[in-house]
Amino acid sequence: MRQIRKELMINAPVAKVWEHLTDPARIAGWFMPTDFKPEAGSPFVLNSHCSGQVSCVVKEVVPQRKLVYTFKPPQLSSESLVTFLLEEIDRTTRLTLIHSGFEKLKPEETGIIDEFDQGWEGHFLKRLKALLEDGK
Amino acid sequence: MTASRAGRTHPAKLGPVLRAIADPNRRRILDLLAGEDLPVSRIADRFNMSRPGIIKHLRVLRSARLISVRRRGRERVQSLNVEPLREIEAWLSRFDAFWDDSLQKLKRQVEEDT
Repeated sequence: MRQIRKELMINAPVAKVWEHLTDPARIAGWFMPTDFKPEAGSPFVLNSHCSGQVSCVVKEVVPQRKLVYTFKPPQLSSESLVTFLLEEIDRTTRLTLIHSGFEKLKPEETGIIDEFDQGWEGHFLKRLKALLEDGK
Repeated sequence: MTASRAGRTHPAKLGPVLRAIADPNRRRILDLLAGEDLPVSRIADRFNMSRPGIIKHLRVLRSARLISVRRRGRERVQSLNVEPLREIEAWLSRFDAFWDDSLQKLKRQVEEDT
């Protein structure tokens, strides 16, 4: 488990998508204000003005193909990993996001995330959902 | 997390709840109580565990606000309180929704720029 994976098609060439993933002014437009630099090893922060700073370090930069950075929002006790993969198909871009590395979290946090991924023993989550929807 | 989604539930409040439900026996207890309110003795009957062992688990669940207790004669009847679980669920779904939101914004922004 322990990853969130999202895929979407963007109607633009990869060069354009890459710009928006790596230029701080553009990152601020869709994500958060940041002092990001596309250099492996360089630390940066993403500023969420309400919930505080997400601490990050760039891990891998393969221009127009791959961007990896660590990601530690204040809600998590240790860093996780965010990966963007880009692939150009007929002047459009397939963007894949993978948010992984939750196994570094404290046991009590991984506990809950594991369970959610495996669907909980005894369909606990289903029953829970039913309860929530009944508004008990 | 984004300004609009994160931080509504303080993580410190979720800690005891996460710890409480990280244990499979305690999840089984909650599962039992999701069906009906039960006195300690009836919960103990369902488990291959000593009564003090069960009581210890119940104490953890109670301090996480996951169960509440009322007296009925000589019995202490345990019932499920789903509110803390609702908070956990909200916290987790925020993560998923956070990426959906951000990537949709990215898509719009890139396509407007093309």
